[in-house]
Amino acid sequence: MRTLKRKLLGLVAPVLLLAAWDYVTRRELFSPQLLPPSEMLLETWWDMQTSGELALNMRVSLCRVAGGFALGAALGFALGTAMATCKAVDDYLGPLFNTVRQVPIVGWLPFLIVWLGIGELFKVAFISLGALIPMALKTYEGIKAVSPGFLELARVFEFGRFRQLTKIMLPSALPSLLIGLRLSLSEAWMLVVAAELVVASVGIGNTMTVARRLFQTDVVLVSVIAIAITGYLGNALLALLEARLLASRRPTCAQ
Amino acid sequence: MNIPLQVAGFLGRSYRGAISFLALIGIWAALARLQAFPAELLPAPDAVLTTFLQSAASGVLGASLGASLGRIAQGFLIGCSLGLLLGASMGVSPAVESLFAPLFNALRQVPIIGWIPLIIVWCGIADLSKIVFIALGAFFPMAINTFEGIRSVPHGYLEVARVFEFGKLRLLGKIVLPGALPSIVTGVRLSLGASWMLVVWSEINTRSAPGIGDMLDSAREGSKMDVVIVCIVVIGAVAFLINELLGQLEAQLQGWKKTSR
Repeated sequence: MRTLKRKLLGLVAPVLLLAAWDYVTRRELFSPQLLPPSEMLLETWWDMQTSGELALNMRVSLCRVAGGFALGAALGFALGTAMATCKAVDDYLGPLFNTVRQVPIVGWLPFLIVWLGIGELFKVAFISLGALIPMALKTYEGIKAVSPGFLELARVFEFGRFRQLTKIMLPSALPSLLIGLRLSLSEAWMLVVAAELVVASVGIGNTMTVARRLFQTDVVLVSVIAIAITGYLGNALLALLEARLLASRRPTCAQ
Repeated sequence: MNIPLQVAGFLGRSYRGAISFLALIGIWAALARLQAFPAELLPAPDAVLTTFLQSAASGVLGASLGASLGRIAQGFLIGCSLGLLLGASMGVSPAVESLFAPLFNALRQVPIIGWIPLIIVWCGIADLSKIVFIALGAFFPMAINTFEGIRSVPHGYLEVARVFEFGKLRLLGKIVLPGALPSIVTGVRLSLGASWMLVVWSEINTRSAPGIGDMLDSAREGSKMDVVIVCIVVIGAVAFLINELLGQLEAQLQGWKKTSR
């Protein structure tokens, strides 16, 4: 009963917002170019859906994210593992990595454009740079936090380095690795939009820039909602993976 | 006893770290000297240093940096205070939480950069839209961390306050806010970091007035790679300072919290 009441209370703010929106557009306090009526969004969404415009642009953006995320997360995982397991790598590359990661990723955008042009290569490189950093950090932290008892156990059983890594370090760093994956996916999703808003001829970010220039606020709003839903789904998917992987592990970890 | 060992270890480590920096600069200098790439792609390290000194001395760098920091100051103050207000009221009142949490969580799903086209439509491309954008970016981390900080105040403290019959205001000022302070400082650090990233990006996206992002992107257009590198280093240094200073404050507060327990 209490949860029902809380849920109903949660509906109040969105409903009020929609009502205010409806009132404002009905009285035409703003021009429809600035604030389209809310029912127009559904029409616009339907148009974009049936014409295939939304699907095409979304697909292009998702492909870029997939490429950049896969590359960045894999490199970040490799770098994090190397720095955490080998002291020399940590000593040599650690300070350099920590210096480079201070620069907000968007600051690299003009630099990468000069070097790689404005095509796909630039976008994938930009996204993978952003995806690499959280993944490397979380991998590093996860492996460094492995309890010394486990490592001693590995020494007792005379595990080689590879077995020590695959049987002890990575399984016990799994929660941290999964957090790294989630952070790096959401970073990748934000950066594809960032890159496409600046330079692109196709993609959901480009849809928004074009619509913004033509004052098609309805298209901008539909795109914002589509971006939010896609980001949410990506995160939910990884959360599901996390729940499954960790659920089967928790009993053995707790012992 | 092992202090000399620790010093030796630290020197050894920093010496190895320095080697990779020197190697990077060495390779860079060699490639530039050999003219392996055109100067628009890879200027010599000393040319970059000269550019840095020149733009610092002529005041160009300072003016751009100042303009960006001015935008941050306004956007951050607005976003941070609104975030503090919402986070605190959701934290202390379950009714406010149930009222706003669903809407807040829905809006939070939009990657912050996705808001900019909408903000530009409504606020134009001048400073106003940048400030609104920064405020929005500063708002979310501040609200979340304030909320979490207040909710993590130990239950025992609240009971003590009840025993002493604290009024609502004293409860907030003496127990809730001090308890939530470390988390609030984390919120300030995250939202200031986000503001810095967003001011750079919004200046790159719409170049309407001077700023460090504008300087960076116009150097890119003019193929002045030395200026591009100077800007990236400066942007990184500011981000580092923000993170470092607030991170130290955070560590101190957390230490204070631990010893007070």
